[in-house]
Amino acid sequence: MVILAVVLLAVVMIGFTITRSTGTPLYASLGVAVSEAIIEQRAEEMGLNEPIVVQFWTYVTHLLQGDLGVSRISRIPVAEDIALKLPATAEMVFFTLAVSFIWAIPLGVRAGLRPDGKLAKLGEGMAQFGVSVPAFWLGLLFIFLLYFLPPRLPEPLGPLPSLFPPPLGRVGSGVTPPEMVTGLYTVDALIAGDFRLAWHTLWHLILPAVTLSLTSGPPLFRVTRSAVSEAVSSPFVEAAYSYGLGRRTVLIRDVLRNASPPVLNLAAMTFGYLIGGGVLVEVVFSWPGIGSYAVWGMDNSDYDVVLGVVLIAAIIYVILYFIVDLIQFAMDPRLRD
Amino acid sequence: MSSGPANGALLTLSGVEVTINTLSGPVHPLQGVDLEVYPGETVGLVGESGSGKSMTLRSILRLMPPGGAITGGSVKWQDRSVLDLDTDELQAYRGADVAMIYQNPVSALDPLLSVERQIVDAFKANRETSDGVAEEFARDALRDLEFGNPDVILNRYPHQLSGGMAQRVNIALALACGPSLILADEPTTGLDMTTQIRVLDLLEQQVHARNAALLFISHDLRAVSRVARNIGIMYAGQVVEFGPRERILTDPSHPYARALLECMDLRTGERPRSIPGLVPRMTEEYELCAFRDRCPSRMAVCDEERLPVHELGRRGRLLCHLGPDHG
Repeated sequence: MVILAVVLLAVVMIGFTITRSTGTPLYASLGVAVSEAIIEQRAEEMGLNEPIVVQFWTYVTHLLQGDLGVSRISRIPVAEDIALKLPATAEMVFFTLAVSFIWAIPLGVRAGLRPDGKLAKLGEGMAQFGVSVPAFWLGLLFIFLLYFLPPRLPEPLGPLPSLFPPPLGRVGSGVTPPEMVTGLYTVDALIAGDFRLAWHTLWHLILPAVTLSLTSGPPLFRVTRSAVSEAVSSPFVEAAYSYGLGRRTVLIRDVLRNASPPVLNLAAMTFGYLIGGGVLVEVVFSWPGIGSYAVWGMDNSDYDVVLGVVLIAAIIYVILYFIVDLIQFAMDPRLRD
Repeated sequence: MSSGPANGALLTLSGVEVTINTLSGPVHPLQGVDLEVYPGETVGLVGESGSGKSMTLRSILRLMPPGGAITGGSVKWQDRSVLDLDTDELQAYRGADVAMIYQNPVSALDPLLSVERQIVDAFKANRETSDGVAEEFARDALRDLEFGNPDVILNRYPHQLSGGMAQRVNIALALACGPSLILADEPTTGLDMTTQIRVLDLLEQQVHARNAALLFISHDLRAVSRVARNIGIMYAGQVVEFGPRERILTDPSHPYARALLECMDLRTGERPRSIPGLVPRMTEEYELCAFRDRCPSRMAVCDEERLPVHELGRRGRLLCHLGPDHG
């Protein structure tokens, strides 16, 4: 908990300094065609003429009361916007990781067990592809191939219906989102008992999630592969076989347990990275997440917006690592001593 | 072959060959190993590192390293061919018939599991039983292995054990499988002198108490002669001489066995000598005697003909052109 406080204080200080030193929100909020007097008046209103230390103090005291400030452009409190946009990003990131857990982890396990097998080669091929292709480009390619192209195919083949909905955010136009409970549309739709809507929101999630998973999953594949291959060649695994334990038992009891720490760590890191790092994919799929929100804030030198997002991302990181530490603490007796 | 189920051997290896495909080409760690182990007896194998001792044990359990395979010969358990067992039969054979004790006791234990869990799992893998019976066994086994407070040890994890304690836990694991043959791969190498003797004595005592046979390998002739009634000398992936302890320790026939004895001879008080020449490279497959480059008794025939096998009585064998009766 002490570490958490220290990390967050450092993030606030660094973030505050950087945002204040890279521009002023005055012109963005007023336009350029205003007189010096109005600019000066506005700066006074916004507290920009105060010494930087005083500004920082004001920010931190507000922060401690749970106040992340107000957007200087939209005049909407940052906390409100984040509460609205964070679930959108979180949902996308959850599904991205879910997709990665479907392909990267099993293929990594398989590749660790049988490095020369077909599945190992498939995994390595996907990993090579994923790291060499930019996520936004892959997203555009998917949209082109699965949404744009099929209805425009010439006679003998087409026209075919689009396989995926147009990339218009979390729900199609004219569809009402489910009532907000968790902010995750698929979950909220299920809570509301509306399976059609749940299916609809899931359908909108698949392409962004697959795009992000293909580009952020390769490290998970590789780390899983090397962790499993290291575990499987440990003396205690051979010993377990020599006692007459079955293949499946040894795999679950010895190999996977011992291979899991680096994979868990990387999964947490990937999650944290995707919270802010999926911006380009958010843009491509018109996903109203906090990545796009942060970029919008940066464009306008909207200090509180940028700092708010940075702070939330940092909090998520710290919490994730805390959870991973707890899991590893529970699993590994060596850490408990 | 004079061996087989007819004369009641538990385990019969004949002409076992192992090939491992590595990135730098094939390696042949075993090049025709012949060996028998009879019920309840203790057999020792001695040889330098790289002579194929550990690989011999692994071929008995069919636990090959990546890229490795048994490429020739036969491994028989009583009258069944181990090399023909399917996955389920192999799993049933491992542990229940043959169990192994490893060289590095701490790394042979899963670091994430308690001592109790590991013994209980090994016990239950080899019989239909309840947790209660398995836990009872674990407690008794640890007590037999002279742990003063078994309940404390059962709840410990491998990193909380000393080398000697971990090796006794490994012995308990092998015993938990209830095997008729225990393989011991340099079980005392990493331990200090007094612990070595204690662990060896306990191992011997527990194996005998359970009427099991023991196949013990070491580069240390003294450790082997302490426990083994019959001793085999390994060189370049073959057992070049085999016989009763008394004969091997006093009057071996193979020139390599003699050289080994000389450099391990502590009675003279001299500095141990080494055998001149280089240890053979196992990337090569030896058609002729692999020791002839280092052999003081090399003859013309050694460079021309394959090694003859001399059977010396019921429990003796020699692979050398000199034969058993030379000077």
